Amino acid sequence: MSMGSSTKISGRQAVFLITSTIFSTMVIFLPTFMIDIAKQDAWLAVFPTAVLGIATGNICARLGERFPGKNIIEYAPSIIGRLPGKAVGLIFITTFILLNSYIVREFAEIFLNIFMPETPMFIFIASILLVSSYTVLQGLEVLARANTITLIFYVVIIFTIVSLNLPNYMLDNLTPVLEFGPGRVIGSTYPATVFFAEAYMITMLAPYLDKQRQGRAVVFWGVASAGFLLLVLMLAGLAALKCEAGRTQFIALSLARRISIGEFIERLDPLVMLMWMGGLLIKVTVFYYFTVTGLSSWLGTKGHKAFIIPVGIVLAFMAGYLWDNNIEFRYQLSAILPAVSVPIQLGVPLLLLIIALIRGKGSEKGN
Amino acid sequence: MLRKIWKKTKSTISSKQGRNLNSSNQSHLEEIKISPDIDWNLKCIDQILGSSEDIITRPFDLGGGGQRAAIVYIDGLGDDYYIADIIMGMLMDTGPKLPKGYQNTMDYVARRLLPAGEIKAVFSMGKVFKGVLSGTTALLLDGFASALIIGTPPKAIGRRVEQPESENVVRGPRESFTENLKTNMLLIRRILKNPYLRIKTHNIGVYTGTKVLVVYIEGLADKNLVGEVNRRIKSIDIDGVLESGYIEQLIEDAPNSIFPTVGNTERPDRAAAGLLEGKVAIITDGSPVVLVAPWLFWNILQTPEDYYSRPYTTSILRMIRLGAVLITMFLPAAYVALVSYQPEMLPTVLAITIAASREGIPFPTLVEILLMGLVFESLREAGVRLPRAVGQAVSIVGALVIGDIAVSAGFFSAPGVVITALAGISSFAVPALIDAYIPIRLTTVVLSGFLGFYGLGLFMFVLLVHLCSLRSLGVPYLTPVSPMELSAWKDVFIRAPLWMMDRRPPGLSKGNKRRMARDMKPGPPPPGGGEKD
Repeated sequence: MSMGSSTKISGRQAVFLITSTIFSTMVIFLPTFMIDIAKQDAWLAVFPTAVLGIATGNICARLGERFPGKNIIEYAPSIIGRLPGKAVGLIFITTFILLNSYIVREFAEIFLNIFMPETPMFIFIASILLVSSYTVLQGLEVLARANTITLIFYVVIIFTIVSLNLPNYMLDNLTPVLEFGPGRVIGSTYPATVFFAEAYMITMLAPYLDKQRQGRAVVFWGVASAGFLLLVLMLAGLAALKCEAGRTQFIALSLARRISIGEFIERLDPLVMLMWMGGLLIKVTVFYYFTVTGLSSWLGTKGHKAFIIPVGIVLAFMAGYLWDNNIEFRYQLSAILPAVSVPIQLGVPLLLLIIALIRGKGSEKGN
Repeated sequence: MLRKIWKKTKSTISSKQGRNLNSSNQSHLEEIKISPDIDWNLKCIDQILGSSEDIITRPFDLGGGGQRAAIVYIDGLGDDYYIADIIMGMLMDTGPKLPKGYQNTMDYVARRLLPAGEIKAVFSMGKVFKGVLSGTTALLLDGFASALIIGTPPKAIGRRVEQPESENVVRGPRESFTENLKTNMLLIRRILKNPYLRIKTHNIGVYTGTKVLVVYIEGLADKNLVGEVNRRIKSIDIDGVLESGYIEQLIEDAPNSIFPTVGNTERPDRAAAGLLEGKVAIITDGSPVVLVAPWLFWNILQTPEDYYSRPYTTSILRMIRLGAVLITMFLPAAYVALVSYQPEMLPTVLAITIAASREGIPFPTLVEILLMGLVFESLREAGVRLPRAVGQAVSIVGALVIGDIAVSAGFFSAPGVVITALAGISSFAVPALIDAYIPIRLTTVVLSGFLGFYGLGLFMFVLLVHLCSLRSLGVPYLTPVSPMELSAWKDVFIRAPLWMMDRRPPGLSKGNKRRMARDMKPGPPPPGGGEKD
């Protein structure tokens, strides 16, 4: 319906969007990656990574506050000149597409592997992108509203699973604390950074906030609540499963499968599945939307709807052909992606902020 | 000259058979001025109304003789006694001379002679027709280029105020709207004795000229909202409006959606409750169904009785209603997905029971559920249309043949019947969404037949996005859940005690938000001081 600068979302909706975006992929593979490295201390690693996420978001939000009503692709040229600025824009759009193809692939892998192994992969990829492009077409306001409901659902399910597992918790599973030393904990933050650094999405989200100066608060609360949810889930997973948690593919699913109350409330997997679907669809749509609007700002076109189909096709091919199998995908997700994307997510905005401060570009605080 | 006008009228009427349907018919008649020559006027009326049987033009002389006059009315619309006795009686009995203080006969007639509540001078034939056709009496006087439209009490026809058919309550008023516009307006007025109750009249329908009233309370309803409703109704250009459904379908925000964005009710108390929340009610002449807008998703789950009875059971009932909506939309699909794709997700005993009863059933689950659904819906449809006596026979056939014999004959499985019946019965818990149930159930069943829970999940997400994209007159459809207004959750999933709901729902009423004083929680008198009053 409405687009461009007339699209406005409230601060709370933006917080929810950031929380869902960060959390919905994090909840799937990340606990396993982290527990693999740091064993029972993995939950400690949530704190440094969340701080890193908040720092990333804070830098991006500060940068955005100097250019109210504009996204990074629009203001980058005015900081470092036209050509380098356009290059930065292109890099950002590429990271959006790249991250999104990871998400779509992850989405497809989960449902292919654990729920419907006989269905061909392209059916999943195509259906995800179809639903997601419909949502992009409806616009950010609708996305934010839909996200409010999926997030409520998400939180309710997580707390249901965590509390119904109460009989399975053994606090001994969490000790000894720091058995393998703090090095392992630091090491396990590495795969987590890429998720928390997704707070950089505020560079694209800030122009749509109904009050311009709330970017930093929005990002803080968004990342903090995602971190809190992860912490709860990790603690529950470790307490219930101990290091066996490192061997299961999906910690939330294992937790849900452990629930058995009165031999009737059991096997809540469909709930977990619906929860994942809701979150992942929101996340795919968020990055899809930013890719499409980013392209529109980069090329300076008026509307962004013309880009929906081409971007969808590119995404489908990338998600389908970048990785040959699940093993390769998981390796790249945990080992390579953080090294490639975090410098862009954190480094580029930091550099831009420093340059903007030195050259005095953008409006100072107070106007 | 008369012939010329007649030709012009005829050509406008015939051009209206073509595509361009606008109100030119009436606007053309508006252009015809009333002539001082009464014969010309009467001829004109006769020609344009086509000397229809029920149009009565009665020429007579005013008392005292000399002054020729005529009244025009439709036989049967107004009270005959009133027309003959009061209007004509008064006019014929006057003295021959014009008393002092009156400019002319017309003035005298209007100001002194006619004891009617509503009297209006008009100058064009169009206005005369409009008045006469809607049941008033027109008076023409020779020598005057104007006519008087005299309000005439209508003949009492139509139903009396009866009990509502579809919104029955155990506790609460048992009046429902009728087909009569004035009665309906009266029913609302009687509840809201407030000087700020506003009514704006529209005449919609080139041929029916149906009166449509937009009712709101000034200061509660948002000005822009009222303006938008009026604008939408005004822009309706149609040959006829037979029911409020016409208006609803021509003003709704999302005509392509299966969800209603304009509400309707047959209960005056419900309409009044809407007005008190800052909504707008639209009354259509000839329809016992009054529209209420904006209409949000959660309004569908509310019934008037929710507010009349105490809050505890009501809150539970509301959640049951929400559950029934979810069951009727998604249960058959979830069953198909579980049985055909993820039987391991069922508790073991249940899975074995279902597998045992599906043994030897000739259809796959998907086909079975689709067929059962078809049978259920056709039985329901048959039950609605048939006379009551035959309807019972149909339900017996349905219950016995389909429910029992089909299972024992091995065509359908017992769980399939149970699921279909459950979904079907649940749809009656919230009948206002009836438009949405069948398409959604059908789509989800087919999708989960092919893609299992994954397909169901995708569809649920699309449905959610669709619901979020809807607006009813600018208010997002899922308010207050999304956009989130936690303070208004007191009246969504539960119904909080009345004294807690001290504010009007957000998004509707801009200025006047408080609907009751603070601290309305009742309690025992303070110790010692209570007995003095």
